[in-house]
Amino acid sequence: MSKSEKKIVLKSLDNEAFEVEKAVALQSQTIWVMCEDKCVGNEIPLENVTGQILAKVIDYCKKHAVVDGDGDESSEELKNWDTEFTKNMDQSTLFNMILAANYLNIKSLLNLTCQAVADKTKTIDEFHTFLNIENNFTPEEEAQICQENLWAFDD
Amino acid sequence: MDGLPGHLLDIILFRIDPRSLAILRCTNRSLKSHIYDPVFESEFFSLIRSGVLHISTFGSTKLCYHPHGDSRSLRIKDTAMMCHILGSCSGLLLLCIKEDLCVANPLTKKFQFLKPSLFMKSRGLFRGVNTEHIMLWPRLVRHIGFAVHQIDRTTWSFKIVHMIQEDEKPDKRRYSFEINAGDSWRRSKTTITCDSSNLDERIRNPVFFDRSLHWLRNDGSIVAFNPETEQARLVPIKFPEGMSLKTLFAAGDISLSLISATKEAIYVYALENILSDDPKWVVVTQIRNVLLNANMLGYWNLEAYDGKRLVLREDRRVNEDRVYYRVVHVYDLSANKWVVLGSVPTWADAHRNIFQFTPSFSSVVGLDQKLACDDKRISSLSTIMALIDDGTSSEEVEKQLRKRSVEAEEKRVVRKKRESNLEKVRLWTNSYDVSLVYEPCV
Repeated sequence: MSKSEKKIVLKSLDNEAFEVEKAVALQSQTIWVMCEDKCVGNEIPLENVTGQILAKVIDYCKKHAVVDGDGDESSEELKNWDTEFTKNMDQSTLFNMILAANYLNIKSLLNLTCQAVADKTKTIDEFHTFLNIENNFTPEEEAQICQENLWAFDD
Repeated sequence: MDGLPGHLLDIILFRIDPRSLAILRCTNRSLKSHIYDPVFESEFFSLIRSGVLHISTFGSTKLCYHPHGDSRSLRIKDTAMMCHILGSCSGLLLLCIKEDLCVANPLTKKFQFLKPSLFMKSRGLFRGVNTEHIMLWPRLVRHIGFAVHQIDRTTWSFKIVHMIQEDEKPDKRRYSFEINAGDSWRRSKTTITCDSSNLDERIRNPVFFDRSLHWLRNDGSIVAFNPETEQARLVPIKFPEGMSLKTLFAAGDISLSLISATKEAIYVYALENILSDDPKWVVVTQIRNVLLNANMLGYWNLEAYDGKRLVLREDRRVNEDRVYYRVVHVYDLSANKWVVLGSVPTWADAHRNIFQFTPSFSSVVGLDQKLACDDKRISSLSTIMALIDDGTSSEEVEKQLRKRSVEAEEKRVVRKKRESNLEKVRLWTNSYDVSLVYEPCV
């Protein structure tokens, strides 16, 4: 196999191109299917993902592609890396990462990012902003439902 | 919920802890109805695996909790007062703290203390916390059943049942029942009389299944009592053949279960046709015993089963000396796999009562008690709640319970003041012969 066949180019929504090892890109089920069907050449356009997000997704895939082959002695390290990876992501990045992981069909990344959102949201305001939820209760309704769930707010 | 498709939102929701989920219910109309949906709720709580709670059979001030399946996170807490665990059902615990019974939801921090019935006391059983009566405890516990019923989608109620056995003739036994639904004890009019047989010594607690409590007897028959309809009956059934001494009677997913274990294999029996004249135990699952190849095996026993997971405890000999360490194994029926849940601390005594516990945030009728601030039981109860509810400390819970009792105290004072004001108004209106409608404001 020549060197070029092992590499693959991913092109983002805003036309940013990333050249990556095939083994890295194939962690995405979506890309895997595309390659399998031979419906694309060496360059794969990803119409739903921006360059900024794609760069992060590729970081994740690179890390996991390398380490997965090494056996389980590094699984602890990988876990720590995952934690660091999502730790400093802001709300909109995490949000777009979830959408990208879903579109690219990378299960482990989807689980990781959803877990990160679940872990980061604890207060009622965080839920409103993080999950982009609009409070559409009337004040009376809100008072009633909060009363029913009062135990959860107790500190 | 811009931008996040429903199935992705669910992935996030299933990862949120129960407390945050309750907060989330208060954020938005469609989320509220989504989370209150029974389908969602049952899926959410099915993903939370049950933790395992244990304490000495004779009561103790030390309780241990293994949260769902993480072997490194055994939690141990010391309570100020002697405690017992008498039952665990639908996210509620039935405890005995010093000389009182207590029903508590460790997640919502709601609770209710109850006095034991006069009958329990007259038998000296509730002085069981004293060392002289300690050996009687397991016998008392065997008579006390804990039933939790669902009233509607979000509301539950509980009943504690004390079963009383009396010999009517030499060969006839009469069963009657005392019930407490959160306030006081009441003797049910229902009694049944049948051939004499003692309760099976191997069974620690009556089993609550399909709205009835079930007591297994030595002859294999089962006394069933439904605390709602107050109907009692004897299920005429014999043990299946070849039952081993290590036997567990428990509630499975769809039927009552009897589990019998040898060192090689464990058989799970389901009770079929319970309502007919010809009920039958049928083998539904056979499990390879985790101890099959164990050397230096000490005491072991089946401890708990909830239809999904089976708990087995083993005392493993370290060497030829009689030094043991105790291990709790859990078999996951859907994954067909044994895992070690953790070890029991070496100081713990050999007689353990082990309960599976699955949290629930359903609101339960009759669990809104507030104690007087100086009540000594608060701190013991807080400790037990904090043991189970991850991420809260005993001090935080205690503060919360005390805060609630202060509020209750203030409300009581306000109510008293208002009542005395009302009284004054009444006296005043009477003396002037004016009729005045006075609606107390809240």
